[in-house]
Amino acid sequence: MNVPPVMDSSLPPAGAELERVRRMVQACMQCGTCSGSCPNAAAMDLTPRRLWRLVLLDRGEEIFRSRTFTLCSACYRCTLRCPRGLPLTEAMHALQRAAHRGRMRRYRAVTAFHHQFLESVRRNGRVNEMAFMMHYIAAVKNPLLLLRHAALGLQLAARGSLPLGRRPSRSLEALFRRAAEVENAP
Amino acid sequence: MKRRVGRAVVVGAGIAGIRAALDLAEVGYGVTLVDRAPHPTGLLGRLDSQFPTDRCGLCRMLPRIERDAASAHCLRRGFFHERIDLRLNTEVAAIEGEAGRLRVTLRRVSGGVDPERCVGCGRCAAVCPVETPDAFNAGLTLRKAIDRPSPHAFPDAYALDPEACTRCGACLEACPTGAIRLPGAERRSFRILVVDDELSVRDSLKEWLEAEGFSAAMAASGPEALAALEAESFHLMLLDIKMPGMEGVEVLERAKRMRPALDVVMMTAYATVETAVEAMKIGALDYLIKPFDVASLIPKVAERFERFAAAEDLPLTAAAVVLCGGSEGYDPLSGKNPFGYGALAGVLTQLEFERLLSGTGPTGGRLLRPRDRQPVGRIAWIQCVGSRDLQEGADFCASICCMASIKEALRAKAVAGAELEATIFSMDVRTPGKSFQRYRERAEELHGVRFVRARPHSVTRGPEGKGLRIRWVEAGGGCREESFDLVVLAVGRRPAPVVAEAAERLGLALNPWGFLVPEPFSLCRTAHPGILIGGTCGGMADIAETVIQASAAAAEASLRLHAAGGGAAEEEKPPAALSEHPAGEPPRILAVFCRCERSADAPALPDPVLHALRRDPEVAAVEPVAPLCTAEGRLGLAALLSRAGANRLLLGACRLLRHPSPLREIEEASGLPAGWIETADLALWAGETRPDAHDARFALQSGLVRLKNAEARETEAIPITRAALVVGGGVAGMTAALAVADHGVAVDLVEAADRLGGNLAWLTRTLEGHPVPSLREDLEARVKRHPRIRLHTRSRVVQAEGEVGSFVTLLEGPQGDVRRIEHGVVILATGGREAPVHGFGRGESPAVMTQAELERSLSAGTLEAAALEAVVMIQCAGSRREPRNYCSRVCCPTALRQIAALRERRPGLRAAVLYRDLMTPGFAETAFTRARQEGVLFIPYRPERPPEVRPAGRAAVVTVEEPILGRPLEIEAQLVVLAAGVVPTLPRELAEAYGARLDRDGFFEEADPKWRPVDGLKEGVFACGLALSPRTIPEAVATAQAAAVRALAILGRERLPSGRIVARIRRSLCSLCEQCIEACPYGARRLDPERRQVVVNPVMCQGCGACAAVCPNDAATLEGFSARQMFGVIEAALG
Amino acid sequence: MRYHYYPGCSLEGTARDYDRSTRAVLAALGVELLEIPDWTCCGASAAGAAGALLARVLPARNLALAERREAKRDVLAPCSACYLNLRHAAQAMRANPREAAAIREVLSVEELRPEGRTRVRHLLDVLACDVGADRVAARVIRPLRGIRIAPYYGCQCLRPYADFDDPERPTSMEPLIRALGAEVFRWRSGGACCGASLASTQREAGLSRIAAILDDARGADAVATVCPMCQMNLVAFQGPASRRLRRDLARTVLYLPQLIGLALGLPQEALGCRGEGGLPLPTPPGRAAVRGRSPDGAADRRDGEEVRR
Repeated sequence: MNVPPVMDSSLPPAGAELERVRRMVQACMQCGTCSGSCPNAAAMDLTPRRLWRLVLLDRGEEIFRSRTFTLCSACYRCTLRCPRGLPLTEAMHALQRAAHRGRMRRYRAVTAFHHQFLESVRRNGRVNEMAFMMHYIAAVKNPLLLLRHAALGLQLAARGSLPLGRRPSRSLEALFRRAAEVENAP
Repeated sequence: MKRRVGRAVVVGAGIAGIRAALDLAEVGYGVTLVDRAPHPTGLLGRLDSQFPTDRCGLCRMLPRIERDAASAHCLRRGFFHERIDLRLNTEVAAIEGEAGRLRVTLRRVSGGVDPERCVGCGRCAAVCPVETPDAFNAGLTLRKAIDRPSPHAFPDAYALDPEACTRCGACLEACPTGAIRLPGAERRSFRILVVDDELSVRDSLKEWLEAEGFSAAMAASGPEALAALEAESFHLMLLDIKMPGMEGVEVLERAKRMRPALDVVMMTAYATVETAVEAMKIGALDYLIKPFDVASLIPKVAERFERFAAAEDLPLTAAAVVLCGGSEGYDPLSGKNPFGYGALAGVLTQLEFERLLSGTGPTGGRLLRPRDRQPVGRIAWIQCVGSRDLQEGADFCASICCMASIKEALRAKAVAGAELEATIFSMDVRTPGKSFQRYRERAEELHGVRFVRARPHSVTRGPEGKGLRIRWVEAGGGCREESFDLVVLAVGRRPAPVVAEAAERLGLALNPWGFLVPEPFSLCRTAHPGILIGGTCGGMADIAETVIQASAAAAEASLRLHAAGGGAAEEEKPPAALSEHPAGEPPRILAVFCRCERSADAPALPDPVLHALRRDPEVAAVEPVAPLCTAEGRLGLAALLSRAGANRLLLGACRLLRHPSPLREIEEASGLPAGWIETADLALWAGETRPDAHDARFALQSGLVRLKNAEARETEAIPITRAALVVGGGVAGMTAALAVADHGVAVDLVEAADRLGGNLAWLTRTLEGHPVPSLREDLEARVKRHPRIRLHTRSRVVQAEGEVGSFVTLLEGPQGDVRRIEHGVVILATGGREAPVHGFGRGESPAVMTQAELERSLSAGTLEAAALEAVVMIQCAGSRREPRNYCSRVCCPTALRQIAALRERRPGLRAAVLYRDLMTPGFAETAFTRARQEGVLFIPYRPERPPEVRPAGRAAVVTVEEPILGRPLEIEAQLVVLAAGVVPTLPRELAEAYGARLDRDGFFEEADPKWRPVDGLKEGVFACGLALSPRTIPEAVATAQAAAVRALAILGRERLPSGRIVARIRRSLCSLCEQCIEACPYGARRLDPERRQVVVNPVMCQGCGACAAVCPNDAATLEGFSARQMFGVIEAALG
Repeated sequence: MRYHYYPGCSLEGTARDYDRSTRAVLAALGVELLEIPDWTCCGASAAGAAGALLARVLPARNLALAERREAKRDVLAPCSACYLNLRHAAQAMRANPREAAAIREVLSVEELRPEGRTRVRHLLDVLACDVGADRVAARVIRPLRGIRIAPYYGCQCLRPYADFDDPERPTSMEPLIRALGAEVFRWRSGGACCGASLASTQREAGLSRIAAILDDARGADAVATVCPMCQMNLVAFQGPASRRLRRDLARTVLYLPQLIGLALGLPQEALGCRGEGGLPLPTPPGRAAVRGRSPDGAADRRDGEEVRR
């Protein structure tokens, strides 16, 4: 039986974000309401309850082997129903953030999606959805995705929903920089 | 019968209130028992059965000593005690002053039916046009706005629901006795100011309010409203929040400054509810959300009006007030309601389900779905709805729901058949009581109740609209989905609104969930010495604990009464004038008929019946009299009796005389012994149809026969030794001894060890954080210097015999010396200790110790906390499985407390608790939450796969199966603490010497596990503390106080009176077969070996007649039920 | 009635119709909108993934701009995601002093010094609570008689802030639908999640959400949405969703203001509707003209929201 020790402090530290998440869900009583409420639980490799259990057991490796937190669609049902009132959706976001910061390969597609989006915001203030999608598809280098979204784009364009022109833009460079400084200040 | 000087007020006539009132009345004090409801017994009055007995036992609370002082019928029907003034439809308007001299103002809830005048004919309900949900049946059925408050109510007085009543007046005309007073006659004088900037709102409000009979004035803005307030006075202001110019909150502030007494209800849009809540903090009473309708507005206005109208206040002086406000069910509609309560048919609360199962419920006791009346095949119970839920502001466990659900599952199976499928969804199944764990296992193993460890997140309608669908996630992660016919929500409890009112009025502390906070080491003392907490307004508890807690509050109240001079003077009632009427005298019967004056058309008795009566040679006279329900009528009886030279009395009256209270007064007025008065219900009240001749003849004849054959003897009374013996000098024993001795009664306290304290010696602090050593020092000092307590340390009971009132005990002292002690009662407080535990690496690793060992090393300071990296607590180490198959109740909270204590010494210490079901009932749940928040790891294990402990150097490695991850975990810990549980240390011989019995686990067996939790099967024998069952220090203190007040009911007098109806023995017929001794359920019969006779203790005898039924020779008889009397009654019935 | 208006990026892009219909309908109902000058993206779900503070700062910037222009006025957002981000920021400003201080610190680079008193309102909240069904009903000139509309709320306007509706059993859209003369289609998916961006990032999971919702809408003549993300998911993926369930899931999905606009008789172009908005529009009287709708397609499959007593 190869059992990893549960409270072995020799495990690599899972990062400040993970510690934040642990504090968020510490009062969890493993009732499973979150897993039962989650519309995407079926697609997850770990149910939310298991994910939180692993967080409490400091199992960073296992957590970041999972795609569970990338499947959170922020519907807030678990947050609403959690009898302990835990900020579970926020905790999912925090895990996404940890993955983003850790530049983990597994989450390249999701990270790229967010990254391209924010780049667009940083540069232009607002997001040009069409331009953003093109950047995103280029970043993840998945031609299949291009095809899919091209079809979508054409469909929307046909309905006149997708403006192709450019709008005035405004850089949020300074704001972004300052936010990073303030957040990362000790 | 004696009545002590002094009075207590008990607020709330649920079971706690009744228990507290009875205890005080039995000690001899006068009690005023008040309840807002029209009927006593609160929640329990609506339940047909209770766990773990699966039957109802409320009546077991009724006194056994001096039992004739109280009603002897079902308590759910009604309640009477001659020293208890029960005031229903009444609330407490004010309490002022200090302990010993509290000024209490009672106020009758305005409007309603006068119970003194109501004869229960039901004509009001027959004509009432309004139907409203019946609160008794939890709204599952309808009742009239004027109706019987409970189908059991006796005497069958009707009650009016002021919220549903439309004041149409139909009942006023129908009532033959003028018993009804409609609420709202004074409405015109109730002035309301409506402030709103929108004309349409003002217009519709004016219309509604005036249609309801109120006077309403209008203001279109804040300044306008303030001007109106300056000009004239108003009783209520309805105030809009969002107005141009001056906003509602500002108007409120100014108005309150101008007229502080003005009631203000805010009106708000959904969006500004927050502001409305803020407004309540600065003095608004309530708020209404716009757009509102008449149905939501009028009750709120009516409620304010009722208060205004209640002018008939009754002032009282009391030495103490016991608050028994109780709790109410959490309303699922008030929260997020993911379970579809109210929206999906078939989703019920526990109370609704209890009513559904009841014979007096909506389906006559058949288990059918409430709406479509379809049979029910599958039922799910969902636990912790509104409990253990921080989002619903309830970080506590309601303590009763797990057991209640198990009971309901068993009851449902009993009603609908064993094939009914019952599933209980819960996170932990909490069974922290004496026999609860076995009850749960019996449900599971014998009756097939399914327990699922899960918290369903929602209930939805099943496919095709059939059934109710529950989806849940199993521990292993799999998703399951099943359909059920009924879903029962085990809703938590909330304190009743009166609790917050009382707290505010008296400045008492409330905990974050609105329950009263008791003083350290007590369940009933508040910061105000005259105000005591009775029952669940201090926290949720099951029936037994509630009853104990109420008795403890009564003990404290009794002490206040005693301290205020109660008991110093005793009023003697005049003795019954029996000597004037010797038993041998031939019967001369006076028959009187009530002449109802309630209306002119009172019917007369049929002539043939009267003639027959007059012809009877033993009837001295037949007379009409002034109504016996009036004092005048009753007082006239004595004169009539002497004029007729009669010695027995037959009363022909109406059913009002079935009430024990007027009957008691007639007995007093007539001076006749009880068996010499008979009543015949002739329905002789106004407006009744002419009595049926046959029925009337039967009623009169059976009364006559009983009177002719009545033998009256003086009620016996046995002398008692006014002293108590308390065995055991731990916290329970010391508390009980002090509580008794503080009443001036002598106490002998026996302790086997050389010093007092018992388990207090090694405990450090309570879960609430109060230090135990100071408690011990305080108790010990008080016991030692108490003039009424004789302390015998290093002593033990070697022999005992006797019965209630006169026990004799031989004590062996430290030098082998023997002392003889006479006492009237005995209280067994022999305590318990930590159970021995084996396995779990105990003895193999130095890291493994028990909770008690850890506690000792913590208090001795021998534990090297700094060296600890991790600690593992293993719960239920040896508990909750045969042969020790019960929950010890204290171990889970102790584990949490010890982790906190260890972390104080070693911050950052990692901790894990391995448990089966975490038993943190009540507010211990808060500590559980805190432990989780602080990062303690909780891992449940199954009893068949207990954790394994193996030594690893000075540490130990614990392996446990983690159910959510579905794989074993290993934890290396320098400290492994075993929760071994508690075992009693009550020697069987000691218990048996006093006629007490032990249960299978060695605890003291109570007379009834729910309703007489500190009384032994034998009268005069009580137990408290761990001898009863595992419990915390405050809980043990409460049992000790309860035992003391029960003992004082006996010790408070010189002689114990017997009941009127007691069994007798005709020695000439007795063959000494002793069958009656075995048959007697009260142990009232024994064989006197010297005189070779069976003797009956008349105080212990409860007049049940079991002896008479088994006696083969007719030697055992029951007074008032002789063969001649009974055959005569049968004869009369046959006509 | 006057509100600050925060359209958000989508309403300039894929959800232009939502923007147009919102403006048109609110104008017709006498609501004035003040578009926040120089507004920028609220960060959508991406900002949260990159930085917790950034996720608050981006929406807070817009609230600060609104507050600078007129302090005591609510901000109206039609997009649920924008609404929630703005709402989160407002909550942080009001209830979390530490976070509020950090937000102010960052915003000072743009010389914004918000007090954080601005209230954020979703379009549905304003329509249901401030405007109210009565006012809408009074202006309906072309009632949508016989049309069954499935109210689709999605997630983020309901949860986690229960500002104006019951997050478990939402009903705020129903009086509005009835005010239009239409019938409320009873279904279970009103508060279900459309999967948000999962359709792009985790296609399978996203599609299964969308397919379940579209399938549940069988029998409705139209689905009413109040969020561009919901609208996009329910419209753009009907093909793949149909293939997934091997069932025709083509549904008419319109923004709530588009439906209101149709009933108010506003011109189709002003609402971004084409061909009657794809709706079997009321050619009163009766439903005879409803195209492609088999009678049993409208079979009664209501999710019986029974009300006790």
